[in-house]
Amino acid sequence: MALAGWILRRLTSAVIVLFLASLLVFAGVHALPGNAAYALGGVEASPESIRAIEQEYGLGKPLPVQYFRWIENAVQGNLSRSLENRLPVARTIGERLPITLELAGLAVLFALVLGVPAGVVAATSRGSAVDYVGTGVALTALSIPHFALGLLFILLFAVHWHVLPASGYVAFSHDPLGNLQHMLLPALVLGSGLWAVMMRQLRSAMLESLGSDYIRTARAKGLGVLSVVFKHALRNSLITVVTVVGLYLGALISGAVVTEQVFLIPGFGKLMLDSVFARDYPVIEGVVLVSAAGYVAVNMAVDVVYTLIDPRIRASGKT
Amino acid sequence: MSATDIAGSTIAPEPTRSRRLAFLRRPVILASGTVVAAFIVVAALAPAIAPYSPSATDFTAVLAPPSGRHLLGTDDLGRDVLSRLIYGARASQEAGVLATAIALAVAVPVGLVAGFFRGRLDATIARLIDVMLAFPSLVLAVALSAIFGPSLTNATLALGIAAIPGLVRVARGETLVLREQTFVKAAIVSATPTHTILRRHVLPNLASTLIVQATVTIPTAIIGESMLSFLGLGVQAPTPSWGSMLSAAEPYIASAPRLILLPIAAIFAVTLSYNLLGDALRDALDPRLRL
Repeated sequence: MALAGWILRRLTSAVIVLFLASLLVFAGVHALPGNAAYALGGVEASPESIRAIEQEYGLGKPLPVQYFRWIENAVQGNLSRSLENRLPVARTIGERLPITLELAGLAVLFALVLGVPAGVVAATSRGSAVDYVGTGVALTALSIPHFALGLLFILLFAVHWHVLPASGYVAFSHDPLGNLQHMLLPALVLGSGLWAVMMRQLRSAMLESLGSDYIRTARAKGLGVLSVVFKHALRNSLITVVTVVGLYLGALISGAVVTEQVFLIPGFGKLMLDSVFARDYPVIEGVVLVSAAGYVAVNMAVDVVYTLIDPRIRASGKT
Repeated sequence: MSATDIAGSTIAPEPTRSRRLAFLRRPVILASGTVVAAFIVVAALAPAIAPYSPSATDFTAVLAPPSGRHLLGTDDLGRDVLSRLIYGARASQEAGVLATAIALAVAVPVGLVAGFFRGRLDATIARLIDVMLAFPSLVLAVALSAIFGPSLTNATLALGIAAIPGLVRVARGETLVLREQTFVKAAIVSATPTHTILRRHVLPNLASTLIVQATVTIPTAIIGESMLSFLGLGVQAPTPSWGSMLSAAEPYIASAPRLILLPIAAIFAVTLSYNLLGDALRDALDPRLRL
């Protein structure tokens, strides 16, 4: 019952956050200098097309009415049509989003598979050469922007060694191997920052738990090193891993925009950028709203995972 | 880490001036501090140092390799790469420092008030921070430039706003701890005005944490600026920036890789130095890590 109340509180706050975020997006687009219909149709739009736009987007109505109409439609999955190609925004997002989700999923996978062992090894052999190399590589990864690393990878793997394609995208259903070949470099690039943060945070969390009393007790009662490291220390540091992934999601979204631009992947991030350059406001509104919703949803999922890992959070009843 | 451990145990507990400045002697701080200082000087004195105007084109020397005339060669429009790198430091510098200043100016008072008064105000601020975090910095920058048009100023503003939530959390957290300290409680019971307590007792004790945070926020903003300029949302042509130099060089990645490698090296050297400096300063200034 405490859990149900906790989830309810968490849901309420998520809805509030989303409401404020949607208000911000709406206000942003409608605070544009000049007439919104002209902003939507372009300065050279004819009076007829301005009237048509006002009709279609309901621009003649008061702003609060417009806002609630927009939200009402958005909740039903209707995000109006793109100014560029007249396609429904929701459908375009539905086509582009899976590509980015695959990219982000692979990136997180890389970060976990490479970052968790690196953090554990660095912590258990603190001060050794391995620790210094790992920490150094992590700091290096943090100091290179995604796009720069992407360009370096293209230079090395595509231009110099000709082992991987430089850019582009192939659908997984069309050619699974080609899809993975095209996704490998972008996913490594996108995962690099998360990997570095993960390694550093996990290293210090592991150092802290390895120095605590329960580890000494576990060692004293004769448990093996591996058992102590993995069953006791790592398990208690897992909350750090979840926190890092949760905190890094925003950066992952930003990173996806840049990575898709560098590798010319037609995903959600590229859609966002293209819509800005085309001043395609319905698409901008939809894209920003969906990314805010996604961010809030994943953050909630992270909180739920927290309570599964650490029952103390649930018991205290605080978020 | 180990160096501070030793310093903490061997040097007298009395904090003398020489001990306070001892951290400056450590090699990592010295090296990274030198790079950061050089970066600041180069950005400030760009017109005096640069051999050419960053936008002067020479169509007789397009994509020229490094030579005595052009130390780092020229780009696709025959512009001197070294001069563009030097002027590019200005955009990075402006974005890094101004964005951090904007973020600090907002985040410190907000964090102080939230942490000190707690209660409903604190809860409201926490909610607002959640909303801000729901907008990844780049999405925010994209939205701002969609509304106001792309420029370095708007990019800097977006990066500054994006840095606010993290800094508020730090300032608030530290204030929560300081609030429970005896010297603050003593000030409260002796009827010191609240604004005096915040200014004279809490803020000075926040300073070292904030300095460390600022050193880490600057490189984040520098990376952000290069990224936005790369995407065309930051510095606009013909003004040079390391990010826009990279996007212009993309078509020549095979024929003139130096156009890609040089700006990346510049970004890397500066951000790595700031990050190292931040790490080292934290080790040196954070009393909890000295235990």
